[in-house]
Amino acid sequence: MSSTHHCSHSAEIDNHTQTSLDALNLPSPKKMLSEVRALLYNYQQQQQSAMNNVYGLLRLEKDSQGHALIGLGPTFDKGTAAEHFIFDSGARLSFGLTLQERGQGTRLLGYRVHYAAPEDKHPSFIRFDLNRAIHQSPLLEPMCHLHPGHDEIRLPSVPLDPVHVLELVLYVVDSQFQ
Amino acid sequence: MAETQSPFQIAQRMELRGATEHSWAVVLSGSPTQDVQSTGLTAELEALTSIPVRTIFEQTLSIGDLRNSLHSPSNDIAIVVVGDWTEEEWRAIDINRSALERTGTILLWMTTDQLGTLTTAAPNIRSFIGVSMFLLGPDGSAMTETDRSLRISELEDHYGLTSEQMLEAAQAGQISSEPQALEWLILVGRGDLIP
Repeated sequence: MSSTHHCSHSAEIDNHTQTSLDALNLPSPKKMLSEVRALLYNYQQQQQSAMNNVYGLLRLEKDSQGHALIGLGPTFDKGTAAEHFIFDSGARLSFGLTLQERGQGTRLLGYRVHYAAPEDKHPSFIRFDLNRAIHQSPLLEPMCHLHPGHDEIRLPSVPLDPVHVLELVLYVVDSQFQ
Repeated sequence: MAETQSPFQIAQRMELRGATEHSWAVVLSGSPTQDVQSTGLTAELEALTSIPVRTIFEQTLSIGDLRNSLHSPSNDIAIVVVGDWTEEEWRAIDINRSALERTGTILLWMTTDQLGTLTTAAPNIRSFIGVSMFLLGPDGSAMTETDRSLRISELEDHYGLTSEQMLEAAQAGQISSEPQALEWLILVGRGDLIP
């Protein structure tokens, strides 16, 4: 299929994504950091073998205009790094959440949450991505999508609270690889 | 106790000690004017324990008011911001301590000087607190210069662009809309170029 194929369904999905994002109001980046840290910490408390210093792994970068990045692990997964969150299953997690405080709330600008499955397991990875803008070919690259183990396959997704994406990874995705 | 601990570490220690019920603790603030809300302690405690946290401010002490506040409700985590309480007032609290007993934690927010007064005048409350005393420090999760440089290098390698070239593209409205590109703009202090 041509990469320029017009798909009205995809365009409609992206419009819905944009509308959902406009309506989504998140807590402050600092509070989001607390929620993410507590989620990972409580999960870590239940792990049997993998050790993660959640406090040391999570990082927050903020600028004077309210933009914020909450990051854990490398920006691009190229194999296990010391900065990854490691699961008992042998899988690893890295993510970046970008936010902007505005008035009384915080808007979600984008996210990437990369779960790399244990060695020799398939799909080898699952990544949740939220892009900032609508792509010229929304069929190939929906604004919000899921990679089911292939960088060029992007299945449309709905924009989620990033804490919920992490809950899905911790309690739904990884549990299939235990 | 000279070592400071971040709000998360304090919440973590309180939770690990099982100190989220029927317990007393002290958090020493950096200065008497430090606002407890701005420290993130409330958010960390709520996130980690899933128990609601409430701040009670008592500039001038009334034991009746304090008791009422602590019991409405009595099962949350109550952060009591200690005001200018005198030794005499601390003695009165110490005598009436059973009236203050509750299911949830009482966390006293005070300065080192106020702790000195408490220790002198309220030995029973001091024994309730035991080793649950924490010196509040900064959050500690801010990205260091090293973290930032490493992330920027990763992005430059991946996209085959210098940060300057990326900024030129962003200013021309030609930056990728991928989440990593947004991160790059924030890391170089140009979040304002995010479309």
